[in-house]
Amino acid sequence: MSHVPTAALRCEIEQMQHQLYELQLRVRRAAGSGLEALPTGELLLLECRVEEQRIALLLDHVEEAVPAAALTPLPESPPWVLGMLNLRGTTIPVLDVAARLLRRERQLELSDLIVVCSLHGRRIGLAVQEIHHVLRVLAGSISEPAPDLPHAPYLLGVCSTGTGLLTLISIERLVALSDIPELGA
Amino acid sequence: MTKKTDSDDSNDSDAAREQKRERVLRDRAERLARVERRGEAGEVAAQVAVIAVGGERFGVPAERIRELVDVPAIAGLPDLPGWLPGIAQIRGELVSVVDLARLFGIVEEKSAEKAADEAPGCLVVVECAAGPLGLLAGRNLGFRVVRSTEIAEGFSQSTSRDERPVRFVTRDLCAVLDLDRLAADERLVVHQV
Repeated sequence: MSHVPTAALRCEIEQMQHQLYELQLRVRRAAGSGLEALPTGELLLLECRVEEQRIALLLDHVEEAVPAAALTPLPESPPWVLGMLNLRGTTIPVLDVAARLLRRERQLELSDLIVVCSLHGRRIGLAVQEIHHVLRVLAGSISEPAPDLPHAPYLLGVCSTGTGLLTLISIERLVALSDIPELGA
Repeated sequence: MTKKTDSDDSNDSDAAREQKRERVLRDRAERLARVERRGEAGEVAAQVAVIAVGGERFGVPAERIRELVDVPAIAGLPDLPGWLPGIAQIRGELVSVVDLARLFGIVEEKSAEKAADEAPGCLVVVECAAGPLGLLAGRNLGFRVVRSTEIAEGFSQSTSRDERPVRFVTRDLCAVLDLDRLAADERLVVHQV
C-alpha cells in the first residue's frame, strides 16, 4: 500500500474546500440576482437584534410580531427552518435568522419574538431575539454589502447609525435562498 | 437509599426549567392558533406597536409612529405636570415627552420580572397635528393588527367617562392610544416655543 504524505492530502483538501466555497458563492450570487433590490427614497426599517448582531427589516413587509411559541418541525428541513406556526388558522414557516445568517443553531427561547412578514401574499415568520426601534433612513445612506461576504446574498445593504452598523436583510432573498422549494417558490 | 448530590439537584432544576419552557411555548402556540369565533373577517381596526408601560400594555397606531429610539436626555421645564417630564431633542427637533406611566397613574410597584421586562426604556416618537410627540415607554413588545372582533365590548371613546386618551381596549387588555386626544392637551407647550 502506498502512503501519500498527510500534508499533501491536507493541502489538496484545502484547495478543494476553497473551490467549493467559490462555487457556493457563485450559486448564491446567481440565485440572488433578479430578486429584491434596495428600494429608493425614504425607508422605514424595523431594527431587531439577532444574537449580538443588529439587523433591520423593511417595515413594509412586517405584519406583526408575536412571542415565540411551540412550532411543528418540518422533516428534513435545514437547521434554519425552525418549523411551522399556526397563526389564527394560517400555517406559517418560521426561519431562524441567527441560524441562517450567523450559522448558529439555537433553540427558541421564551424571550424570542417571531416577526411575521408578508411577501407577495405569503406569510413567513422570522425568529429574532429582540425588536428595538423603527428607523427612518434614506436609501442613499445604505451601502452595498461587500460582495464576497459569505452572507452577502441575503443582505440589501449596510447602514451606519449613531450606535454602529445595521445590516438590512432582504426577506425575499432569505426565503428564496432557504433551500426549501416550497418556501422559495 | 441513595443520597442526592448537588449535581442531581442542578439536573432536576434544569429539567424543570426545560419543562416550564416547553409548557409556556405550547400554551402560546395554542393561543396563537385560536381563530376568533367571528372569524378573521373582522375589519382591521388598527395596526399598532405594542409597548410595555409599568406592567401594562399600550398600542400606538403604527401609521403615526415616526421612530422608536432609546430614551434621550430630557430637559425639564418648570410648572409642568408630572406626566410631562420635559422636552427632548430628536434629530435636532424639540419634542414634548409624555410619561405614559404617570399619565395613566400606573402603580410603580412592580415585580422584579416585570421591571426586567421593561428595561431598557424607549421613546416612541409619533406624528401629531401640532408636530412630533415623544411617548416614554418601557419595552417595545412588537407589532400587531387589531381587528374589530378583538375590541372589548362596552368600551369606546363615547362611553369613556374620563379624558384619558384611549381609543379602545382589546379583549386581551391592550389599550390603544388616541393620539389626537393626547396631543389636544394644552399643556403640551413645546410647539409654541
